[in-house]
This record gives sequence, C-alpha cells and structure tokens, in this order.
Amino acid sequence: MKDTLTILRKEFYNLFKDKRTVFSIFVLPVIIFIGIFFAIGTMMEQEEQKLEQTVYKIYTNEPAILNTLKENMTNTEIEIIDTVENMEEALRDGDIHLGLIFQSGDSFDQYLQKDSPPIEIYSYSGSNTSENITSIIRYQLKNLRDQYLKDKLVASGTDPEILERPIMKTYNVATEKEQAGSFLGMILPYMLIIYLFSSSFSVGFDTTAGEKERQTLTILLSNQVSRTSIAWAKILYIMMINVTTATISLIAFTIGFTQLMPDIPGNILEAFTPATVTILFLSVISMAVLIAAIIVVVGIFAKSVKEATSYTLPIYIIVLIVGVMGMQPQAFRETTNLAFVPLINGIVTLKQLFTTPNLPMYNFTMLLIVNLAVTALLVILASKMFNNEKYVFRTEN
Amino acid sequence: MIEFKNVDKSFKAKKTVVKALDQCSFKVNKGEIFGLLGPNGAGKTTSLRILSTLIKPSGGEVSVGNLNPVKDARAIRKKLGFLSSDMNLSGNLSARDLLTFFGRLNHIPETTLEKRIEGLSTYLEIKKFMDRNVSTYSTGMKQKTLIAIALIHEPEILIFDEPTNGLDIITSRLVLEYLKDLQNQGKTIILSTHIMTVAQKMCEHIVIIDRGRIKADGTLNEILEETGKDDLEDAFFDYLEVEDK
Repeated sequence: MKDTLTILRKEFYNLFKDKRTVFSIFVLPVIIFIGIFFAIGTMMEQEEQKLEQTVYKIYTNEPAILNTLKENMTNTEIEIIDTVENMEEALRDGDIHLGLIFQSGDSFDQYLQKDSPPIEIYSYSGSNTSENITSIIRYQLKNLRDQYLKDKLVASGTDPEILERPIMKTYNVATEKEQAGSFLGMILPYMLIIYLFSSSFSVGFDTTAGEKERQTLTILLSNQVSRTSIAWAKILYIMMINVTTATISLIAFTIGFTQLMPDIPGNILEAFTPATVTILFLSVISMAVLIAAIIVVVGIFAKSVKEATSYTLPIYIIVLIVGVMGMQPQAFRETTNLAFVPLINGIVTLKQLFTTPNLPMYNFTMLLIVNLAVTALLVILASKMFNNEKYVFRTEN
Repeated sequence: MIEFKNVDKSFKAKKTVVKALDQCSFKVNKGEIFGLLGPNGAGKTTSLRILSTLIKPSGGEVSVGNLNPVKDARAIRKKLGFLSSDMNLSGNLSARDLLTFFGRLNHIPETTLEKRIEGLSTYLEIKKFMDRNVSTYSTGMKQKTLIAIALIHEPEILIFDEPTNGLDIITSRLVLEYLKDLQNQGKTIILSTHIMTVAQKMCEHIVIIDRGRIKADGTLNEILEETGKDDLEDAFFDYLEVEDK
C-alpha cells in the first residue's frame, strides 16, 4: 500500500508540474461548457428578438382573406407580396416566407363547406422564419373557422360557449424534483460516460503505453516494488483524474445549463437528495475505477498510445450508444439483465436513480458487485502483465 | 556469486521462434567487474534482463547470491542496480524528484535519503542541474541521473547494459571512472558492451557471446593467450570468425 501511494504521489506531482495538461483537464471543460451555454443562450435570445422584429413576406392570390387574418395578428408584421415568378425558388431564396393559395375565390366561408378545395400553404422548413409564420397562419386560419362557427351558433340561438367545452384541466403530478430528475436521468449517464472515458484516454494511456513508448517504465520495473502496487497506483491515478474531471465538467454543465439557458425543466438541484448523491457518487466511483482498470490493461498490452486508443474506441462507442439509448424517456426504467453488464449497468442505474420513484437498490448493489469484481480481475491481470516480458517490452521501437 | 547454468531463452516472433540464448553458462564472482561482450543481437541485453528479473529464462538455472530470479524476483531487485540502454527519462520531474521517488520506493528513511541524494549528486556531478526538469537534460546528464537512480538504494550488484551508449568521450570516461570507483567500494559490476577498448580497460573477467552462445570465458590474459592476439578486439573477431568458418 505504501508503494502504491508513493507511485500515486509521483504521478500527481508529475501531472501538476505540467500546467498545460492541468489546464486542459481541469479548466478547459469549465470554459467550454460555460462558453457553449452562453453562446447557445445568446443565440436563442437573439433569434427570439429577430423573430419579434421580422416582417413576414407572404405571397397570396387572395389578399382580402390574408387581410382578415392580419386583423387578429397584433404582434406580427406582415407584408403581402402579390407576384412571384417561381414560388419554390422565392421561398428558398428568402424572397417570401410563406405562400398561401386559395383555389376558390376570396370568400373564407367557401373553404368550410363540404368538398371544398384545400387552402394550400407553401413553406420552407430550412428557415425558422418560414416555419414560424406557417404556424402563426395555421393558428389564425383555425381561429377564423372558430369565429365563423360562433357566428353560426349565435344565429341559431345556441350558446357559442359550447366551443370552449369540455373544459380540460391537466395536472402533472410530477414534482419539480421529479421533472428535474427526468431530465437528469436522460443527460447525466451519457455525460458521465463521455468524461470518465475522455480523460482516461489522455492521462491513462500516457501513464501506461506512453511510459513504454518513452522507455521510462523499465526503470520502475527494475526496482523492488511489486507489480500489484504499480497496477493499483496507475488505476487509482486514472480513476482520481476521471472522477475529478467528470465532477468538474458536471458542475460546469449544471451551472452553464441552469444559469445561461432559458426554459429548463424544473429546478435541477431539487433532484439531489442525500440518498441520490450517495448512490450517484458510489456508482461513479465504481464506473471510474473499472474504466481505469480497462485503460491500464489496454495500455500495458498496446505498443503505443495510438494503438491503445484504437483498441479502446470500440468499447467507448458501444457504451456511448447505450448512453444515447438511455436518453429516451422510457429506456431502462425496468430492471433487466443489463445490471450484470459492466459499465452498461452504470448507465441503467443512474437512469433509474433519477427517473423512478424508489431508489434502484437492486441495480445499485449489482453495479457495485459486478464492477468491483471485474476491476479486481483486471488488477490481477494488469499485475501479471506488468510481470510479463511479452507486454512490458512490446513496443514499436 | 551470480551463476548462469545452461540458460536458454526463446522469443516468439509471429510464426517463428528466435533463440536468443542457447545453453549459456558463466559465473560472476563477488567484487569483480565482469564484461559481457558481443555484437548487436548476440544476447547480451537478454542475459542482463534475465539477471535483473525483467524477463524469465526458457530453460536452465540462474542464481543471484543463492536467490532464484523467478521465485525471488523482488529480493533480487533489492540487491540490484540496473541501467540499460533502453531506459530513458522524460516527464516533468527533476533528477532530485526522481531520486526522492526511487529512494522512497526502496523504503529508505527520509533523513538517510536526503544524505544519499546529496552524496550521489556530488559524486556524479549532477548538482548543477538536478532541480531542472529532466526533459531539458542532455544525453550525458540523463545517463548520470540514471546511474544515480541505480545507486540510490546502495545495491550490492550493478548491471550496466551499454552504459556509454550515445555519450561523448568525456562523459564516457567519467562513467567508466565511476564504475571503477564503485568496484573499489566492493560492488560487483556486470558490464555489457560492444566497445572492446572499454572492456579491455575495465573488466577482469570477460565472456564473449555471439548468436546466443558463449564463445569465450576467462580473464583478459587468458583470452589473449588462447587466441594468440595482442588486443581484445582482434581476439574478439577471432572468436566470431571461428564460428563463421
């Protein structure tokens, strides 16, 4: 244990003397997340302001109907265009934002009769402005129909309020905490996997395959230190970096997302109770130590950092795909055999942790047992590999 | 005493098996400078890696002071200081950081360690640069630092594989002087080299190895006498030529 701590201390000392690496591991994620969310938030605000100030250009063959629609559109500026040579081209080029064609003249009533021809709406989905005015016009057309019906009902002596019936009241029983949890359950496992792996790639392979490549590993191996101590030191080092990077990134993500983005679901902090934080922390530790053990084994096996990265990418991609699958609201909400699959069980447990009413104790227990058992096997394998010339001297030199 | 008895070592290379050592036997006596000579690919580094427990023999018996390199690897490494031509220094640490690290790994008490670092840095003349990052070192500075690392735990046996490789003539001479000095301190030194003048000057006991087989084993005089040559380089070629004929 003493030797493990000595090696661990040396690894951290070496890392902290390299200011560029420290910056890229610990500071850059914060800058990136804050920067990304600031940029997205600003762009969304600008887009909203732009839409408010936009004058929508609509081509129509019946300006009279469009003028009727305009009367109800208080906040929307519309310019009626009466001639276009080619409607599709005009829409694509942004010369107009919408085309509205009435086949049977300028009386709106005709379009409410049985077997009446359709009102043709031409839009261009590549433009937000076109999409926006399309939904406004559709809404206004329905409004006009409702007004027509109201007039008819009044004329026939029927209370037009019938059109407002039945009154529907929707109650979302999900608490603010649960709404936030549902969002976290989607995004958190995916983000954690990305950060637990990505820092391993740089730091983890540098301390294993990188040391072989640079011919610095032999000095350590020719000393009296046990191979198990070396394996544990490397694994703990990578794990600590993984957990720190993932934590910093998640905090930066949460701050960036909650402070700089509009319309977020619920108060995210509500989802973090002492129980969820404990389970989250232990789950992340068990995943991080397992990823570190995988990285060490692959790093010792590979001839170079490049080769190690190429061996690990398929595992990363598979886990990432499962992470993306976990973003579906209903995915992994029930207990399945995935609890026995290392790493994947982490995604499932975290998803359940935030999206189901009870704590996922079965999945959490299996996660700890399976991940730690596989890690122990990988540590034994790594120490045997450190003792095996086939791997230690397997380099490209 | 160190003993190699009928040692074999084979490596698998894709579909072929390369025999690096073939029934090699030699003994190294306590306190001597032992020279293992041979051309590139002769089996020198393989022999030294077996002695330093980095690799295992495929057959035969090896003992280092009555210890078995396979069973008692850690106990042997405690007695050994190993310097190989395929070792390098890199990273952000200084010579002082590395010496402290390896000293701690060898469980040297902190006060003793400080004294040893002070002593070694004076002895090997590395004081001037020992607080600088090793990535800024010249080849000679790195080699001196590696020697200091090999000596930090005061090993009884020193295994130096091509210690003058890549060094300029002045640093080479300094390194060889250190080796002589270490012998005078009672250390056993196993030196591998393909530079005959170095071996002639340094080694009391010489073994010539080629293509994994021992070609000669004796003192410098015995080897010169056996071949009837005046210097070791001619004798060395004589042994290689005998094999070629």
